[in-house]
Amino acid sequence: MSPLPEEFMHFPMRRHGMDHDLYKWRNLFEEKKTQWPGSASLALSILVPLEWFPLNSDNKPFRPPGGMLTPYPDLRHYSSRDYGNRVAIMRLLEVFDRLGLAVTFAVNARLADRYSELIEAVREPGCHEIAAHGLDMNSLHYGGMEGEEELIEQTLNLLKPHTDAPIRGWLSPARSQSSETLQLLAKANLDYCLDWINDDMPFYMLDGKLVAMPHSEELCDRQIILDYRHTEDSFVEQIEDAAICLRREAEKYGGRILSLSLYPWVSGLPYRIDYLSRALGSVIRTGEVWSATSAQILDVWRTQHSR
Amino acid sequence: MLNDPQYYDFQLYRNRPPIVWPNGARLAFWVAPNIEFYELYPPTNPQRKPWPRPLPDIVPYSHRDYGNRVGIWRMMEAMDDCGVRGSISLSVGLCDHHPEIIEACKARDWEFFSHGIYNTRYCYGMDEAQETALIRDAIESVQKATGQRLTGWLAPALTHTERTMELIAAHGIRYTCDLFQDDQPQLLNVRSGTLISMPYSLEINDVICYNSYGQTPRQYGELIRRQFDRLYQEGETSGTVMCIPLHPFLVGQPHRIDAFHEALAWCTGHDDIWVTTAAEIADYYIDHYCSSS
Repeated sequence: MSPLPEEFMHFPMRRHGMDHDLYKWRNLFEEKKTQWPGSASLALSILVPLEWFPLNSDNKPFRPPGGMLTPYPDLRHYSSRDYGNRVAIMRLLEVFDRLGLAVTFAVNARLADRYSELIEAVREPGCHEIAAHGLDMNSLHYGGMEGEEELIEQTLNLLKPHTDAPIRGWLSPARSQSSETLQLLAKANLDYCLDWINDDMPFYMLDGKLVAMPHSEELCDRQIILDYRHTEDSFVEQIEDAAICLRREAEKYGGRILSLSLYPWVSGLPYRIDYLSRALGSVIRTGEVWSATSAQILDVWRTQHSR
Repeated sequence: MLNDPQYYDFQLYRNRPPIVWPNGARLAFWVAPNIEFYELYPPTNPQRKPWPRPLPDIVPYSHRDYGNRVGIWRMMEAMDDCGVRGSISLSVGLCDHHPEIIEACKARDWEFFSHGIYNTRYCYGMDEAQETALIRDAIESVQKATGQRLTGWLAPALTHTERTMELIAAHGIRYTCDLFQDDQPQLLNVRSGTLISMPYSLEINDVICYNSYGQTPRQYGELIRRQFDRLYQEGETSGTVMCIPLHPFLVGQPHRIDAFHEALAWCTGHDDIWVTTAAEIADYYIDHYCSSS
């Protein structure tokens, strides 16, 4: 067999720091302390993606989590995801309202365009934030793609009529990015991105042009309940355990963020919604918690941390 | 291709010469944090794609970066609390990227062994010169960054060639974590040098337990206790080895660290165990039980 090409023995980015220039490495435990309003030890950051998976999705260049799975027409997955946008969402909103929680909803632009009543229901309480979640779940961002700038522009334009304030945050469908995505988000005047999962606290990207906001991939109902197949009881326990750990750290290292990712079509099922209520209730009852949207957390954090 | 790796002889787990660890300990206990560096834009090895999605595949990349920014410090605190020195399975490229992490490990007198340069560079298809260059790079990088002479090996992403064991032995490596045939060390058949297999583990490795077996954080803690119980019990007859391989990006998550910490404290709370590093186990085993060397 011929040996591997010589490029396998070359390491052009072997240097101090990261192997790219998107952000700098840091040790979270040596960061300056953050202080949350009311001296809360924890900021509770809940992110709910609202997604539309077109029935004719081609799953290219890869299948997004939750995407169409069976041969066309995959009615079972299409309508199960739609259940999240019709029924389950109302159960989540009821829980958030009852517990007084402010939540960030990352919305596929085409979903807002199709179901404006859904977006009105999310905006009605007046405390939630709308962030962009790309065009739809069949419009992925990836290395080598074309027309990404236009895709981002189209997404933001479609969302504009559904929000009072300018959109500040971005979550790519399936957290997918090309090598240009971050630059293009900054160029589109977005303040923060929710795709990266390398920290528990915000950090600056592109020399401060953008901020990476925590958005957990691990503390996520889809990951824990569907992918790992853990029980609902364990889901609650894992959220409680995370809160205990982060509160303990907050005493020494400053305010922490408990980031949860919740999918209506997972947590909003009749037999699951009470577990979600239990988990969130437990977190807010056991200490000072600041429930806030990603933009609110960003604004407080940014005043305390220079670029 | 071979139909048998040929590195080790068959030895049934009975009637073996008994092993007794220092001070009469029945179990040699070590923890192996995998402190790894993954590339955002690695070249693609013809036999294995580094990431599932087109590059840049930022989700698995940033997940692993979490280990080097956040998770490692939580894991380190738990190990400090239990008096456990790590034996690091190190992507040696990390000596360049994050010397800050290397310094924290040195300050704790942890051991460094090689896990390749990056965990996105696989050995499949390397010729002898390329694999030799990798081994020399690892030895020199660790020497330069830590002052330690490299004595252990776990192939990057567990990717091997038929030559791997011969080449590492010829370069003075004394133990390999790449073989899973036993709960006790074993002298391996190599033409030059002295190389033993060091019990590592896939079965209580956090990446396998969490990602492949889908265990909960508390189930993981429970199986660490059960693994310990059994090996401790059997070690009364002949000394056993227990290793807990870790990945800071997984075990260092806020919902997982306490369950692990409690299990680790439970293990190290026992008498008659030798809490040590892989290099120290290898030295002791080679000195006392490999008479032919």
